[in-house]
Amino acid sequence: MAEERHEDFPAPGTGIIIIIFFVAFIMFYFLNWKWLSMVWNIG
Amino acid sequence: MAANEMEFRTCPITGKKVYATTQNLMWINAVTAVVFILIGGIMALLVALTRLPAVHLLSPEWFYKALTAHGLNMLVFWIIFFEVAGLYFGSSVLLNSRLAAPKVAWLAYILMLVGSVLVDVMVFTDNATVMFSSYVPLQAHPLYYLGIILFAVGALTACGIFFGTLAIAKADKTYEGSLPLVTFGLSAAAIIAVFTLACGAIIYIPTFLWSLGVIKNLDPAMYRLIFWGFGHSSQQINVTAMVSIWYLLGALTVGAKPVNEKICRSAFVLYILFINLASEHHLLTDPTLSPAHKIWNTGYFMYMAVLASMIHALAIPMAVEVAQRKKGYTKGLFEWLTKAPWGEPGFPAMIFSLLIFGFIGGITGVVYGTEQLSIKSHNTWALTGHFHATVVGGTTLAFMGLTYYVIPLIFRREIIGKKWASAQPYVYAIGLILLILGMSGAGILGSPRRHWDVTFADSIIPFSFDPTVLLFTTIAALGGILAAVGGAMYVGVSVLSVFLGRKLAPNEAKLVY
Repeated sequence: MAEERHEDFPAPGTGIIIIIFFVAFIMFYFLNWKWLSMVWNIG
Repeated sequence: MAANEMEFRTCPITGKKVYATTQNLMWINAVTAVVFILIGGIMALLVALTRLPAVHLLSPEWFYKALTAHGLNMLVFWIIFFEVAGLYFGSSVLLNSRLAAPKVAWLAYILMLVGSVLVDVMVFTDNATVMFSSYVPLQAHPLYYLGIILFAVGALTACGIFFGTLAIAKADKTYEGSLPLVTFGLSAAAIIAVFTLACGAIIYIPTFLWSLGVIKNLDPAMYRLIFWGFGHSSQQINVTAMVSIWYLLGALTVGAKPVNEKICRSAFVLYILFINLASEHHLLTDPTLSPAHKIWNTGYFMYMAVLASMIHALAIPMAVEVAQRKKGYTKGLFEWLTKAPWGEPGFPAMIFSLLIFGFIGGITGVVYGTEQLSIKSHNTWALTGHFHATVVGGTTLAFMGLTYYVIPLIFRREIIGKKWASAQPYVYAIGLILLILGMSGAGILGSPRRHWDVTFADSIIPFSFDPTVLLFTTIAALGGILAAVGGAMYVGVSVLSVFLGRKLAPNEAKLVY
């Protein structure tokens, strides 16, 4: 499988998908800590 | 060497040599895999209809029997038989080489078949209702453990055939330069498989002897630790093989080539080094390991494997976008995606597999695998949602997509029901997304996994969940039914095509549906 070479970032659409992925990840990570804090109250 | 071991044809599409022995072994392993997905799929439907309180189909005895059979037939037999076919393809076909020791490969197949049939017979005859994990001190009939050992020995032998074929190809100079990326990825899968099957042997041989009464006691904590070296690592083989198939499907459907192949290869090396640490996810709430150990293993080192998955999951859409833009689909950010071959089964299978695995399975896996957060999700239905996203939405869907190319190109049969084949990945993916969201929603609200009665109607201490759990459970059951329909479409199209499809002349095989 030959390799492609590019001078600039060749896949802006993929860049958007990456951003959506990270936003989804951060939201779900935050929500799980929030839910944990609701189940297991401290103080 | 028998004459037929050297008999080959050249594929007019790929230009690859397809040896008769390789083709026959791929055929038998792939067809057997489909038989097991059929058994596992029927069990899945029965389990889904039992989890739904309005139907509650099976008795407790049959529910746990069906759940045990579902786990083993889907997670182990379907996937590993298909992977063995994939290993023979990745070594012999992609490297233009004859297969090492075909007779031993047939012996490996027989061992795997006898082992898997033995396990299923034990499960269905009430001799092994021990679930997939068969935690000690739950004890099954000795033949159950023997079946798993035979299956593992057969699979390990198949890995040996794969490595032997790589050596033959290297010696015979059947390829130039480095191994193709797909073969490189499958090599990583085979290396992980050796570790996995070794763990299986280390734990199942003493467990077999324990079931015979030769060994009096087995330490349950030791069992859990080593079992997951087998039980979860076998899913890491699937992940690695699935990623290799993503690269293959990308190349077959739109001619995608990785933008930076060295990074992709490095990511496979990260899998070999770190992915098996994920096995300890199962022990995050287990008191036998120290918090420091858990945090280092699954909170730090394991992220190297997560990094590898992210590299692959982003390298492939990037390769697809670059390939599509080169064809002229450059309008806006997503014309490359909207003008992709969505009517061919391989492309939606690859994209849905990638999205379900990455967005749902990957994110939930990292979150639930965090030591502190595991307390909230452990043994809930949310965990089941996670691994249905990785193993079913990811691996199974990718394998299904590849099947629609293997049948015409390798088995040289015309696909019967092309429209059904084109629709199948959509039906299966939508069903799975509903199933996974339902499981995850109910699990986050506390609904337990592996439970016959989620309403706790007969429990001594009354308990009722938030009513939303019922809504999510219903969504999961509807998704399960739809996924079962998608699974039936896959089995129907592939079985009919393999056995009744018109034989294709060499110049008739084509990639486009």
